Order: sequence, then structure tokens, then C-alpha cells
Amino acid sequence: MTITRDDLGELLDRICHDEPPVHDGVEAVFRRAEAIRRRRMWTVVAAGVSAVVLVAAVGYVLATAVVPAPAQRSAAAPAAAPAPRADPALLAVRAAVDDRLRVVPREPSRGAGWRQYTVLDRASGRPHGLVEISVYAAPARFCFPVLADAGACARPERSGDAEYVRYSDDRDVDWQVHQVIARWRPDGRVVAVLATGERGTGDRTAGRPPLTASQAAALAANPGLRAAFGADERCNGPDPACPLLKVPVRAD
Amino acid sequence: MGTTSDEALHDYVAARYRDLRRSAFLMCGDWALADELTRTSLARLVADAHRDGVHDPDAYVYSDLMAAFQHRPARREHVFLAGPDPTSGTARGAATARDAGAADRQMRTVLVLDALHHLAPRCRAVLVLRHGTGFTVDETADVLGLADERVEAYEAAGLAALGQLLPKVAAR
Repeated sequence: MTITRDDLGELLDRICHDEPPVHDGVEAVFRRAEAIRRRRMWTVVAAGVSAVVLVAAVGYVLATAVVPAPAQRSAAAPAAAPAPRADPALLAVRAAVDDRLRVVPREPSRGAGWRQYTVLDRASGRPHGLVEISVYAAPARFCFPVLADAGACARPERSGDAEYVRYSDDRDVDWQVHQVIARWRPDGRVVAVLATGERGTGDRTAGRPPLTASQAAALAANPGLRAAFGADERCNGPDPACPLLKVPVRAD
Repeated sequence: MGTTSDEALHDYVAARYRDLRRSAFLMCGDWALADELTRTSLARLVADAHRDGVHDPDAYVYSDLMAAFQHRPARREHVFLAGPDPTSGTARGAATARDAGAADRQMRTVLVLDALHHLAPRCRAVLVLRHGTGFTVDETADVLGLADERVEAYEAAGLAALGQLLPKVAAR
């Protein structure tokens, strides 16, 4: 048997006769539509916020991955920079001073035939004077000066391959000096080591030179100091950068 | 319904609510579920009409409603109960139940719903839209996203199947 179109329409219509009332169905539809609208709005807002956060996170990751961090650059810089050249003269001065003192180059720290170093108190960091070293080419019969007699030559002491004369002047508490002029016998060159106490302290102890006369003599006789100066380095010429000595070297 | 005012939307919802709910009931056999699905489909229509505008609201809501049944898990067993007679009060319920005509109507409802649920969802949807709602083949094809020929084939097959399932009911 076949149901006709009219039969089915009537059947379906009849079984819906007992349908319940609609009640507030229409109002419920609009309430639900408003809830859908709000949910969609929050979804859009959340998606926007998520997109912003995602972009920021991706940007941060890319930035940190591509651009090196400042800390990494600062850490890499010393490694990339050339290592400071070893200064044998500095090592020799450090070996000569007391352990409580620290020696650092004083800028300008070096020139052709001269070096200069600042000495600091290791504990307090206060300056403790200056050590200046200068090298001269000298004649075979070098005359060590005598303070009391400009025309006389002092008899030098000997230490290893060096012969030297010590000069000290502590009459002015603000300019106390220990100076040594030494002649290196192997090459005939003359070295002057000038240790000057901190100037202008007004105190004998505070203005004491960083090297004693003995220490200055040991430094001047140190073969390491001789090796620190090249064979063609000299302060004989009118070089204003060369140290101004308390007792000038007569190298002519 | 391109630029839709609230008043026009309200009129449309009020006019279509009952028809849509009937279609949903014929699809699922449960007035409460039919109410729920009807409200959901109409609420989506209202929300979308406010946002983008809806060109054909009938096609929109019936498509949305029928799509809900496409994704609903099929059940092999169905127990259908006829709804309460809205014209009868609690005091008169027993008397109504004893009425032979009412009992016959309830029995017929259960048999028809059960026969409909022996059909595939798409076949059932074609019958409901064509014979419960009164859509043309073309409109039914638009709602279900089918070709006209497929709608006609589903309809013929559904009518034949119901003829086997409901000989006595149809004969009354």
C-alpha cells in the first residue's frame, strides 16, 4: 500500500493537534539571541587580545633570537678585543714595590724611551706617587752626576750587570724623590728611575716616594727592565714627553 | 530581511515559531526538544540578522533546524508518548484519557512518529518539509542542500516506506 501526499499531510497535521502552548517562546528566542550576540562579541575581543599577545610574543621571541642581548655583547666584547700587550716594565715595577701597593700605567703611559706608572695604596686606593723610567744612549765613559759638584763624577755601586748611583731628596715634604741613575753594562745604555711621592700632601709620610732608594736601585738593575725597552728607544732628544728628572742625565 | 528592524524580526519569529516547532517535533517526536531546537535556530537567525542581514529567513532557520538532526546521534529504539491535551485541565485528565477518540488520536501519533523514525534522517526531513511544512521541491532542496531530483527520490522512497509501516493508520 502507498500513502498519498494528501494522506501524509493530513496525518502529520493531526499528530500535531496536541502541541503544547508556546508560552514565552518568542521572548526566549530574543533573550537567547542577545546571549549569542554577547558571546560572539567576547569571542571577537578574546581573539583580538590573543592575536595581540601572540604577535607580541612572536616579536619578542624573534627579537631575542635575532638581536643579541646587551649582556651577550658586553660579554663578547672583551673576548673580541685584542689582549692588552704585556708590559715588561710594568711587571718589573710591580716586582719592586711593596705588596700593599698597586701599580697601574698612567696615561700617557709610554713613549719612545720612557714609561710612567701611578702607584696606589691597594687597600684605600689613594695615590701614592709616581714612578717614571727613562732610557738614554750614553758615551762609553759615562759620568754619574754629583749633586754637590756639577763637574765631578760619582763612583757607582754595582749590582749584576748594572752600575748605579742613588739620589734622594726629601727636603721638600711636598716633593720627595728617590732617583737612581744606572748604566747597563751589556749595551752601555743609561736608565733613570725616578720615584716621586704624592705631591702637595704637606705630610712627610704621605708624600714619601713609592719606592725606597734601594727598591729603585733594584728596579734599575733589573734585567727585565732593560729588556722592556727597545734598542732604539732613547730620551736623548728634546722630547717634552720624557720625564723631567730631579738629577738630569748628562748623556752627551 | 537585509536590514532588519527589531519589530520585523519579532513579527517573523512570532509568526514562524509554531510552524518551526512542529517541524522539529515531527523530526524528533519530543515537544520539549522541539522547543529547544526551535529557539536556538530562531535565536541564531535574530543574531545574524542584526549583524549581517539574512536574505531568506525561512531557508536560514529550516536549514539550521534540519542540520541539528543531521548531527544528532541516531537511536535504534524510540519511545514516543502523545503530549497532554492542552484543552484539558488536571481534573478532567482522567476523563479525557478514557475518551475513545483521544486514545485513538494518541495511538495514531505514536505510530506515525515511530514510522517516521524508521526512515533515514534526510528522508524524514524531506517528508516533513514537503508535507508538514508545505515547502515545494525547490525550497526543500535549498533547505537541505540537495538537488531537486534527490528530493523527489527521497520523497518517493519515504512515502513508500511509510505505506508499508502505516497501512492501518493511513486507511483511517
